[in-house]
Amino acid sequence: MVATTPSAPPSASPAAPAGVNSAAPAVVNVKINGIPVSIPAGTTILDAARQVQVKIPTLCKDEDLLPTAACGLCIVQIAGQPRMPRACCTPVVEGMDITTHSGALTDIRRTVLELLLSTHPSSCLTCGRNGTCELQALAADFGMRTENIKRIVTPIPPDNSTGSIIIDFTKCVKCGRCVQVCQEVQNVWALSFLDRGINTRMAPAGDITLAESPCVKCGQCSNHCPTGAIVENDETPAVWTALHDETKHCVVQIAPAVRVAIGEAFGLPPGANLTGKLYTVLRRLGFKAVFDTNFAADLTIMEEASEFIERFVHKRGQLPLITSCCPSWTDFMEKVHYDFIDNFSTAKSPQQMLGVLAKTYYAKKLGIDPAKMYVVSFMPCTAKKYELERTNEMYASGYIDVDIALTTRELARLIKQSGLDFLNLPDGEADSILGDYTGAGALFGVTGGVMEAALRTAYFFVTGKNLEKVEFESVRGLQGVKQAAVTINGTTIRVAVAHGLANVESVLEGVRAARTAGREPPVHFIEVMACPGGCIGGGGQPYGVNGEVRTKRAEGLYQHDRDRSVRLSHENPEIKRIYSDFLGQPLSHKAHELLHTRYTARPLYKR
Amino acid sequence: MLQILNRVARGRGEKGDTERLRAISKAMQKASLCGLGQTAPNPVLSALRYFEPEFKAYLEGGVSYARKMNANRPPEASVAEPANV
Repeated sequence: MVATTPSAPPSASPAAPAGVNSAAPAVVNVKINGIPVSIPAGTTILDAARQVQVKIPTLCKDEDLLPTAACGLCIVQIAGQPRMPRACCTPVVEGMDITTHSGALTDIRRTVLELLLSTHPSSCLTCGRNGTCELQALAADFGMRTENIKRIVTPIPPDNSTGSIIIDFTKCVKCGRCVQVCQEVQNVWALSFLDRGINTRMAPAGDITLAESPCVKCGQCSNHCPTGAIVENDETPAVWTALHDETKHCVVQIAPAVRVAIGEAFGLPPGANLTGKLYTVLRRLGFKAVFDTNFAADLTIMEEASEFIERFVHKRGQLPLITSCCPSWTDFMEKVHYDFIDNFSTAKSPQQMLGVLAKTYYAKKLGIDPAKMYVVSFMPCTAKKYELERTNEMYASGYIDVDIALTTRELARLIKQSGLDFLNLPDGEADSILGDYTGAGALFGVTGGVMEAALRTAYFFVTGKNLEKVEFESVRGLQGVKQAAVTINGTTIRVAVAHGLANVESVLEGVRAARTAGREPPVHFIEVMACPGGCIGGGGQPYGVNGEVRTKRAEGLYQHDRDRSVRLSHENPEIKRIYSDFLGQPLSHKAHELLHTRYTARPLYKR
Repeated sequence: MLQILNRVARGRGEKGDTERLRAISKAMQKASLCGLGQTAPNPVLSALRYFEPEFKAYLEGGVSYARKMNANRPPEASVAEPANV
C-alpha cells in the first residue's frame, strides 16, 4: 500500500490537547480538597493540584519526563474508590472528588517512605547529594526519626569506570528517571533496568561497565537522579592541591553557560548573570590568570565559519557541516553516526582551544614554562571531563591541554569550601589576551547559539559587510529541531539546530536519504548540542532543571549578548590580535596543528 | 515483610512487629499499582487475624516457648482449619 499524503487536519479547538477524542469535553470540572476547579481534560491529578496550591509529594516524577509511577508517594484518595491511585499518572475525569492529604494518606505515605529508606544506605554525610537530595528532603519533611524497618541494602559495587559520572547502585530508589532520560531524551540507551526485585539496578545492559557501554557521558542521568545514586566525579580536592602547589601556575577558564546557572546554587533565580563575580572569586581562590571560554568560542567561530565558507562557497569538502563543540555529541557520532565523520567540523571545542592556547600563546608571551601550567576549566558538563583525553590532539601543546575539568556543581562547592562571600564580591575583569569576548561567544551556551554566532561571522566572510540585525530568532527557543533559511548575497543557506540527542535522528535521516539518492543535502549547516536546551541544561548544571529554568538561563545569555558592545566574533580585538601575532589566519597550518582534531569511527554494536 | 516474618518465626521477633506487618500490608493494599501488590499482603493479614496468639507467643517467649504453648493446646485446635478457607 502506498502512503497517502496527509490531508489538512480538521479545524480543532486549539485548547484540545492532541490525541484527545473529539467527543470528550476539553475541560473537566473536578473537586480537589473540596475546591472546585476546571482544568483541561487529560491533565494529571499531580498537575491539577498545583492549581489549588497543593504540591503532592513525589520522588519519581520529573517535569522533563513522563510519569513512571514508581515511588508511590503521590497517592491520593478519590471518593468512591477503595484504592489510592497515584496522582502522577491518573488523569482527571469529570466529577472526580479528590483528597490530596488526610491522616490515612499521610500514614501510608510514611510507610512507603519507611520502605524506601529501608533499602537506602544511611551515608547522607558523605554523599554527593547531601543537601540537594530529594529523598533526604522528603525524609526531613515527614519527620522520619526512627528506623522502623530494618535496613537491607543490596551490596553492589559502584561503577566509576568513566571518570565523569559515578553510579552508586546502593543509593538508587529505582525511580527510573535516569533510564528514561538516557533512552527517550538522549536516545543513547546506556542505562536500562537490570534484574528484578531487591537486586534491580539501573546499569548498562549485559552488566558491562559504563565506559564500555554506549554512554556518552552527557550526565543528564546525574542531573535527573533524585538521590546520590548517579553523581559527577567530584574533583575539587585536586584543584585545591594544584592551587597550593607553589611550583604550579594555575589558570582557569569558565564556560558561557556556567555564569547564568551558578547563582542557583547560592539561592539566586535562574538566569542571573554572575560573570564579574566569578572572575573575582576565581582570582581570590588563587588562580594566576582568569580566562573566559567565550574567547575561545569566538575563535571556534572563526575556524568553523571559515570551514563552512570553504565547503559551501569553494565546494571543498562535504556538506552539511556539523558542529563539534559538544563532546557528548562527538562521542555519540563516533559510536552511532560515524558515516558523518567527513561532515564534522574539525575545529576543537572552545574548552580545548583555550587550553592549548594557554599553554602555547599565553605561556610564550609571559615566559612561563608550559610544563608548570595547570589549566582548570569550569564547565556545565560532565562529558568535558572525558574530552580532556579524548584523542592525541588534546595534547597539541605538548602537554595535556586542559588539566582538569569541573562542573558548575563542583565550582559551587569549591566556592563554598573557600568561605568567600560569593554574592557580595565586587565584579572583576578577565585577563587580557585570552579573556575578551563578544556577544556571539556568550551564545555558545544555549541551543542555536553556535549557529547564530557562526552565521553572523559567515555573513561577514561572504559579503565583507556586517549584519545590521545580528539576531537570528528562528534558531532560538526550546523546540527539539529548529530549521531556518538564511539568504546571503542571493544564496540561501539552510540550517538545522537540534538539541537532546534523540532529536538528531530526524535531521540526519533527511541528509542520509538525500545522500543515497544523490540529491543535494536538505540542510547545509547542522548544530547539535547533546543536552536539552544546550549547555544551559547541561548534565553538570545545578539541579532542578525544567523548561522554565532553561528558558530563564537562555534569556540570561541572550541578555548578556545584547549587553556586549561587540557582538560579532570576527570583531573581537583579541581574536584579531591572536591571528596577527600567532595563528596567521583561520585554517592556517598553525591553526590546524593547534585548534583542529580528528574523529575515528568506534561502532559499538553491529546494528 | 519477609524479613520480619522470618525473624518472628526464628523467635527473634521484635516488639511492634505485628503492627509493622499491619502497616506495610495496609500500604501495599491501598497504594500498590497492580492487583498483585494489592493482594500480596492478604495471607499475612489472614495469619494475623486467625493466629494472633501464636504470633504473640513467638514474640514474647521465642521458639521453644511457642512450641510448648502449641503442644499444650488441645489436639483438634492445632489441626483445625478455619471453615472459610
